[in-house]
Amino acid sequence: MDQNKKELIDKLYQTANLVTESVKTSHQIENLKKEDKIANQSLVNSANARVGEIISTNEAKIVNRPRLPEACFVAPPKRPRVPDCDNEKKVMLTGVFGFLMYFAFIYLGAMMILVGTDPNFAVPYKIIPMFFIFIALMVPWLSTGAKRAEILDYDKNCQAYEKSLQEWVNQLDEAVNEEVRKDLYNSFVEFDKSFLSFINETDVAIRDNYSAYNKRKQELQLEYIKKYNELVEHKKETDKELASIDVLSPSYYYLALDIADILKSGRADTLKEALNLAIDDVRKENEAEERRREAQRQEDILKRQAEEERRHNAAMERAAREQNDELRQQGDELRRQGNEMRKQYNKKYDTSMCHRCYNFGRGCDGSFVRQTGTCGSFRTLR
Amino acid sequence: MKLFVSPKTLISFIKDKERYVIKETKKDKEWYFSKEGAEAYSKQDTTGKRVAFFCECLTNTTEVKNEGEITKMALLLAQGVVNSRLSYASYPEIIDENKNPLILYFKKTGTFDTCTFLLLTSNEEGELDDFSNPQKAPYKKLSYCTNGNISEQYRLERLIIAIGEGKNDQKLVAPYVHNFN
Repeated sequence: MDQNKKELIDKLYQTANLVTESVKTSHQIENLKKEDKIANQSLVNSANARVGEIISTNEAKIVNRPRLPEACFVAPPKRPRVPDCDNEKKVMLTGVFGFLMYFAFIYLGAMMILVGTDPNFAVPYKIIPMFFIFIALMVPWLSTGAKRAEILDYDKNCQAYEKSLQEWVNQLDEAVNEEVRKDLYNSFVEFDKSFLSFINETDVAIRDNYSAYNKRKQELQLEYIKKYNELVEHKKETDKELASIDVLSPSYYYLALDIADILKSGRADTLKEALNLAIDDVRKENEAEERRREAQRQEDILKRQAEEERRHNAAMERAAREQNDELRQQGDELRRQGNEMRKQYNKKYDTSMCHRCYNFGRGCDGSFVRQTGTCGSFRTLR
Repeated sequence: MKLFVSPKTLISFIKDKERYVIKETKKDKEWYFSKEGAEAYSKQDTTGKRVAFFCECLTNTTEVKNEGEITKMALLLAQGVVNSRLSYASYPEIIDENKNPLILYFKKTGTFDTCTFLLLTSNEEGELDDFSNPQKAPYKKLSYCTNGNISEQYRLERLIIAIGEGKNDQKLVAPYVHNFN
């Protein structure tokens, strides 16, 4: 191997190493960016979580909010509904009058029964109209009965309402007396104190938390910038070195190692030949890879088709089996019906003679007998 | 139906002029603003009686049906507004929707809204947002007891908060809320 070729091969190996280094540095830069993003997010999350912790811890120190006694929120009893009546006195008088009419009605009725049977007594003729007059007089009594009841009920309910209202008022007065009110406001003073101190303490703690967060964020930022600059600098140097070798065009850097191997193995003598061979090798590899992929794809298709066919056949078999079962069931049903009919027929007719008949088996299967019952050899059981 | 009521009961009912039906008067809005209404109110000498009076008044003069909300409103009027410096603290201004904005709001919404009532009774100008929005630190709008003297405004505000939250057990409710972020 001549000196030039050897030098060329060395340069090509160096190019391949530098390309690998450059790509590796690029990946490191990308990873560094991702890591920085994750670290920042986790820092924000932990700062926010800490804020939640501070608030809940400090909130627990607040004294209970003062409340009014429950009796304050009980609605007062409802006043009974006022009856819809213009003149309650008139309604009450109708009641008194009707009551008297009722007894007069009973008395007259009894009189009619007692004296109406005596043929020598002519009074009933005078009593009958009076009887009906009393009935007419009782109508207002009957019609105002509901109103009277309503008024009397209202009267009773009002008394109960007054009593329960007084109880409710007493309870409320007790619940909101001067002492209770004073306690309520004093408790609010205490509550306000604890609430304001909660606000102040929490504010300070949160500010501290965020200043710590900002400090840590700054540190992270500086670390990131330092690492990033180092990597970028390293990549620049690598790229610069790569450019200084100047053996291959940058678009063929990825073939550097292959070209070096070709030259080393003696498959080519010049860089141009080696480059063409490397391109050809890569193309062939790509084609082979493509073929492999295509074969794999075809194989997958065939497998899928076979699987589908298998499923289809299984479904067909299942359908045929089901159809057979159905037909068998139908046949069984028909046989069962035939047997049933034969049993019915045998009960009615004696066909034992048909077997000895000349025509039996020569055109007559006994149906003639069954249908008409006029065959000479036929005999009924009856 | 009680048809057979003893005539004695009925006659005693007619004779007794102090019966409830006879003395009962239908109370509408006009009645509450009349001399009779004012006289009836002046007879309510305790907080409990005044609450009962306002409850009945709100039931008869508004469309609100929720008894709980009516009781809260009556409690605020009887315990807070009556004894306050507010211009509508006296009767019948206290139940007049044209003079008492609390009544106007209550009639419109039918609810006891703590933040709105705090705004309506506050000394300073402001917006509802100032009392309800955690971003605006609403607790700053409240008055506080700094030198040991509990002011009238302080009492009114704390009463509104205590009544408004009722049986709610939560420690911090508006306006005692603040967004620290």
